Amino acid sequence: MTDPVRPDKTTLHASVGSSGSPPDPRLGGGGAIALPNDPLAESPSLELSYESGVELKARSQWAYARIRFFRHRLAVASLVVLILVALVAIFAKQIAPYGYDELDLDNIAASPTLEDHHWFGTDLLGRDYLSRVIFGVRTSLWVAVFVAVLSTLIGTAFGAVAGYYGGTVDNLLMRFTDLILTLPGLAVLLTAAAYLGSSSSQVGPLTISQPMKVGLILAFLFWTGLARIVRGVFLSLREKEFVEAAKASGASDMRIIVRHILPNCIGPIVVTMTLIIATAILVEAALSFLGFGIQPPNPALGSLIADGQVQGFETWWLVTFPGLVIVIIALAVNFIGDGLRDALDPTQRIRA
Amino acid sequence: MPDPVLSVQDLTVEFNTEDGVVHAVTEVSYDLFPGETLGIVGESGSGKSVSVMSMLGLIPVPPGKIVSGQARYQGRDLLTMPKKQLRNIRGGEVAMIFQDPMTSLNPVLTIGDQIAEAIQTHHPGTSDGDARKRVVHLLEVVGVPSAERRFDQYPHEFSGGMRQRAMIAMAIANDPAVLIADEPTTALDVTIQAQIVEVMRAAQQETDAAIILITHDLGLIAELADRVVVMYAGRVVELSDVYTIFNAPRHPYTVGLMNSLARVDMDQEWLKPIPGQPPSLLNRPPGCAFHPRCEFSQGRERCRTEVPALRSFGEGGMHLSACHFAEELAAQHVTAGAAAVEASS
Repeated sequence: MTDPVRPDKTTLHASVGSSGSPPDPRLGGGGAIALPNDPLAESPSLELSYESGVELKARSQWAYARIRFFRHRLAVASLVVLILVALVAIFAKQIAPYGYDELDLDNIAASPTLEDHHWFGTDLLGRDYLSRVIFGVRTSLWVAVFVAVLSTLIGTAFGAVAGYYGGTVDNLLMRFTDLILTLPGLAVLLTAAAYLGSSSSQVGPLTISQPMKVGLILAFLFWTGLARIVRGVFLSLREKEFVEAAKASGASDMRIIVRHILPNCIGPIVVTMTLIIATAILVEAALSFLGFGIQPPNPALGSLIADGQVQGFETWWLVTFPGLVIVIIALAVNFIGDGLRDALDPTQRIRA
Repeated sequence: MPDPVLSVQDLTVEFNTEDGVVHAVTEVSYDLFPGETLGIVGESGSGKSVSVMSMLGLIPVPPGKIVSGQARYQGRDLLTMPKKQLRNIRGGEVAMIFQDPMTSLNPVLTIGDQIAEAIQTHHPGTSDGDARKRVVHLLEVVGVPSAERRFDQYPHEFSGGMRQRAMIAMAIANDPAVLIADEPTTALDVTIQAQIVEVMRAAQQETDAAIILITHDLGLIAELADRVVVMYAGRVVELSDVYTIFNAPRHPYTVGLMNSLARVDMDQEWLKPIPGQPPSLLNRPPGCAFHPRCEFSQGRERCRTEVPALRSFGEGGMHLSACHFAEELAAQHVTAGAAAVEASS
């Protein structure tokens, strides 16, 4: 792993020019041993001879990150899968062969078949299951991303401020975090979901749709883990010399937090965020499964499984397909998180 | 004599720890004149770094506490200045070079970005293009080859010497009037140290900054400093120009330091270390803090009971020593250094 840049030219020069000289001519008998007169002035010629033939490409941070990411095969494959799933979700209306509440009374509880495009079969009301899964992905993915973004923002802000300032601020913020953590998650989720109702509501000019409500509840519970992780990273990083150096160069607290420390936390944040996406999909599914999540007729992956399990193994496709999709999305997101973590760390070398 | 650019008066800094109060810096005073290089030498824990870090508000408070003193920079006291003003001075008019270039650069930002940021922090209107031009120029000043390309590289792509050059470039980015170098060569190997000395000179030429050079490397002091402050156990024990410090020290500790130094100009069978250990700053010896290790004191009562004041010697009053018996030392001790100067001239 040799870095073509590493041996610097002036080092070569100096060690040749003053081999074995102590660094101190004034003590050493009045300049009997001279320092290299001026390594700055003489380095260019050496530099040419040394560097000719060595090709160095300056790449941007993102270029490096991209290269590193694309070496991670599993992550790339997962990314492709997730993009496909996301595209299907976004263009659900165009892609789904039927509407999610369209009834086909000729085919009730049909098993998967190529006929009439009922690839995933139909449910007990004769609705095309492929279409329902596609619309379910749309809802679940939307909720998951909403939860991930919101809880990451809250968690990072809490963690960064607590970790950077420490002391009383840290204590206050972290005790609040602990408080949220001690709440029995499922109970709170169920209570909140029941309390907030199963329809959309109006807060000032904002319409909060029912899936968004579920997202808000989840985000409220999910940011704590990230806050603790970010706080931990900040606690260790704020003692680093480069933070002290930034302080010494006059940077404000805000600048140090945002520009100097936060980029060093990108790895853990991205990984945690992908974990949150995966967990949010699963918890939202569980919530919907229990009937407190996304309300029918809106399909969500969890409620699809809930509906399907009534019949047991006779209608196996009703449980299997949405379940599979959940697993695929959760896995893909986790692998992408892995790949991103490695890619975003600039100290990771690119191995030839 | 021009007015000092930075004047430290009676600076006392303490740290409250679980074991008691650590007297890190006690009644330290010195002036820094424009364009000069002032060396501060002393063992680890003698208060060298704390004395300057506290001026810039870089010691953690608490446990640190500035008990008393002033640090006047252009008529304003750095110690009592509002935080925001101090921040504007830090990295602008008073800049700092840190000891370990390996850890003092942010690993996730490019070298160029970090230096450019130092500029843009203090000149918010600077465009990215202008900042880049200036950074490339600075990198050239400190001898980073192919500066244009190096701009976009990360710290881990730089060698130790190159990183320290980048640190120096960052420190001089805003044309500071005072440059504080905290052991700038300690973390580097010897051949690189020699180059960094040159780079420091180049940096000083570029900015006309007065430099405070904190080090325990007497070679570096001899190389760069004009005047020297010798610190021991949190106090200034001797202050003079560099020739006098090396050739006619007037404090037993400085004498001890010189005797413990390997010198190519002398026939030394053995180096002579200073006996004993540096004292704990939690529990300093009474009287002169150096007396338990002092060969010159020979158990005299006064050394054990009375804290010696810093007194001036010779013509001009520019040589200060904190030893009760400095005159005796002068008479007795014809240092080998003087002989060395004669030999070389």
